[in-house]
Amino acid sequence: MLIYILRRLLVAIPLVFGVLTLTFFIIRLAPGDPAAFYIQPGISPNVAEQIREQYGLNDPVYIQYFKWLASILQGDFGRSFSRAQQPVLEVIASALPITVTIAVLTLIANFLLGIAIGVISAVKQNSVLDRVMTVGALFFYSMPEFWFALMMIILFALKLQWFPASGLNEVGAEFLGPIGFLADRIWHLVLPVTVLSINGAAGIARYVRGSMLEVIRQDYIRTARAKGLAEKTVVLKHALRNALLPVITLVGGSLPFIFSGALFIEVIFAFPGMGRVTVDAIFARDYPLIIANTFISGTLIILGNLVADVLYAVVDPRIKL
Amino acid sequence: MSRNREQDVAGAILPKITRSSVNGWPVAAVFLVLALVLYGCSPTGKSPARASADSTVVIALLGDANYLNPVIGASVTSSNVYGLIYPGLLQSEFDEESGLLNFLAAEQSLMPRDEESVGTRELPSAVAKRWKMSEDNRSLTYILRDDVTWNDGVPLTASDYRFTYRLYAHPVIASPRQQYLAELVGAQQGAIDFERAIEVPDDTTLVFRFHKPVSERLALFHTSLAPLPKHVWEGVAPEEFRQSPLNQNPLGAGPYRLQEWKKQQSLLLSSNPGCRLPKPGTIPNILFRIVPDYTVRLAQLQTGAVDVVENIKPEDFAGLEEASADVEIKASGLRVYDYIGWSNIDQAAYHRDGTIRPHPLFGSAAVRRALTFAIDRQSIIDGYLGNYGVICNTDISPSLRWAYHEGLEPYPYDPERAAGILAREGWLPGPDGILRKDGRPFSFVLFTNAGNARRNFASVIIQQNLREIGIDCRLEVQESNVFFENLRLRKLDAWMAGWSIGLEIDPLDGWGSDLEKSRFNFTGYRNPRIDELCNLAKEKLEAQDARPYWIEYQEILHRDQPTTFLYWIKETQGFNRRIQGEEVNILSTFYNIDDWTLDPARTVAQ
Repeated sequence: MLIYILRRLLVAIPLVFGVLTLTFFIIRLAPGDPAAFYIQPGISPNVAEQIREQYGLNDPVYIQYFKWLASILQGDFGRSFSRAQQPVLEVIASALPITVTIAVLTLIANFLLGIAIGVISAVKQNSVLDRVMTVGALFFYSMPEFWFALMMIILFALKLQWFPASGLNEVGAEFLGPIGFLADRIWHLVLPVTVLSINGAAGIARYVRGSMLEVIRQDYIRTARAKGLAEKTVVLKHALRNALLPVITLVGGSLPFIFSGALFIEVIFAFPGMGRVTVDAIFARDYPLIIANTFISGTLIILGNLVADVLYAVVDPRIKL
Repeated sequence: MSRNREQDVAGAILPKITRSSVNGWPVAAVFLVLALVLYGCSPTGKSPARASADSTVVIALLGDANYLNPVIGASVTSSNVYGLIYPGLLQSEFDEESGLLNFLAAEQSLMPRDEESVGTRELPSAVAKRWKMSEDNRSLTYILRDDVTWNDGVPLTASDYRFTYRLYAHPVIASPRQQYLAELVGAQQGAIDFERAIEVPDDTTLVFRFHKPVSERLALFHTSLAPLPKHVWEGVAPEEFRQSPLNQNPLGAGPYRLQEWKKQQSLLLSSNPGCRLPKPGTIPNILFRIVPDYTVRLAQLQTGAVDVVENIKPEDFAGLEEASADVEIKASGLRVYDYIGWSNIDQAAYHRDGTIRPHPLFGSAAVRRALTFAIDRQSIIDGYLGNYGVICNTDISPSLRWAYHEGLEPYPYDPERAAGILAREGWLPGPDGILRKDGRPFSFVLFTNAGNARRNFASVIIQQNLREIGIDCRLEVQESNVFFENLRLRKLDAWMAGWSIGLEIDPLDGWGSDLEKSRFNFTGYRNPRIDELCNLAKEKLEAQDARPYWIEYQEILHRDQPTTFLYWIKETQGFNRRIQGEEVNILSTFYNIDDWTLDPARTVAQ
């Protein structure tokens, strides 16, 4: 298995590299100019030219590419155009913790909620409870995230005023002491994490329900019941473990989400996470930042798939890598 | 019901929960538990967070500042922030009566200030004590105050200004304010001769020399750029200038200083106790919070989580009122207008070999006038802007009263007259009802940029209006970057966009006949008399003396309709009523923010 992992990782290197090269050329082909902001009345026409010179955009594209290649190979992703020349890795380093916090909380809530709902609706198949849950899950699953988020804000932040509408902390939260600060932070995270996990859990619940229904009809479940095992043991130990196999692929697939951020939620709740970094970079034609973001998400998608495959082998002894 | 600042953060939650019915919704139950847990965590007794809310004004921003440095800061947000940190040589004011900029030094002002317009601001925030323009208008001498120091205690002197002007001019630094230096000695030959252009005989005397006579107002405008502290920035190489950590941690001398900057989240300024320009800021803290989503900014204004939100859309005024939020809407002058650009020239021919010939659809001024007659501008205003829109005749704003032509009659909405003009021009209805001339249908695509609700609203009415007189107008929305690039390259035949005008009138960039030089003449409009008038006006040393030229200029633009000017927009800002003394101004929403006060009585439960 170790050799398998190593081989996959080795194959990943040229793959990521190819993705970056493609991105490098595609963003330069897109209309728009990183210096466009400086083309406006009242600003000397020289300024845009000087800015382009500073960014090295006056060289022919292939020279730009080789220069970029040389610095990438030294691990230097360059400095951001749009964020005051901050090194792009710094920009990403400051956005990642926020995104990861939200995403990890969301994923945990997602899977706990999703699995619980899925198991209950499978065990009580076709009961009223199952129907309600199925319809409810579909209802939330098909709701656009940004709309759901705005509705939650209107209800809980504007009308009821239980939770803040945006930001990571309240004004003056620094004075609350460490526990107060943490409480304030959690208080700010409730709405966004709820929106994200309700949406995601609904999908997972459908998955778990389907896979659970299949497993529950298997012979070994009947055998387990015939042995006189408690229903709880049958469902949670014998059935659930097997039913979770396909769900594991979902865990791997969620990895890029953890790092790439949830754009709408970040914009609406004003969290400076990866989603916003990426989209701002694209609108500002911030080439170095776009490439660095592509690098992160590309690597994670590849790693996520690898993790899913490996997990599969770990959980299911029938699969050999 | 506005969020209660009297209680501490989590404590405010509890009474509201017990009051509201949970309705058995499981999610709400989860919230209830969480809220109770949080309540238990929060410290009891009088909270310091509450005290901090009483001393902090919170301003919502769409995006973060970038460089807190007057030399390279480019966005409005950045300049709003560094304007409070760095000391101004002069203070500029907008004189509502004349529509001219007034400049103030500690002991002198360009125009007399009438008592009413002075408002709360008695002492100007200016390093200069007074100035003297030479007889020949070729040099300007400032006498500076000798009691101003940077925040590290080092005195601020005339050398700081000369040092910083060299940075403004440096090509590697690429300051967006290079244009301000265009009149200095040597600039006409391409390189400013700093030995002669800026002289510093002693610490409190600063002399600027120009290569041509310059009006006093323009000279003051262009020489009053903010300085950097020389002793701190001296060691920074131009190549490193934009990357310097000093841009993120500025040393200033203004009424506020940077306390904390959490990138993309918030930026906290605190009153600078050592400031003598003219005094430390009155409100102890100003917190800029970055809230990218408009709906959320609006919600936070209603709940009192933020105190100021800029650019409230007119459609939301009713909602704010209904919610009886403690919010006041203030409108500033007319600086922004929307227009429909018609390509005056055949762009394809121009791109092919530089030949200039009229555009097959919009080449004739009569056709363009007909299009303006056909568009119901008042309906757009009534439907979207209400009292916050004014029909636009030309690009000279009614707020610039010294130059504005009161006598121009706006073209009324008159589709019959439009059809009549078009018929005389040879555009007659074809079998499908679409106008045709020499077999060519009057059909085009109107482009606009994505994400502007106002323009979306207007474009639909315009499409309908044109349809009624037999013109087929299709709408296409483009991503902003793509749209502006197409505009710049003169690739569009018809488009809807807007301009925000400068307070100095200098429109040659937008209408000049030399299409290579006039970068913003997207329509390709050419009228030699416009070039003449602009140049004549520029030569006048007193702005008011140029009025006749601007009057003729407006008459010509009105007649030629190179674009259909739609409407001026009053920008509207929302303020929580606990803010006192704010004066909204065409210069900026935050024009006198260092004089604002917070009324604690209003922050207590209402």
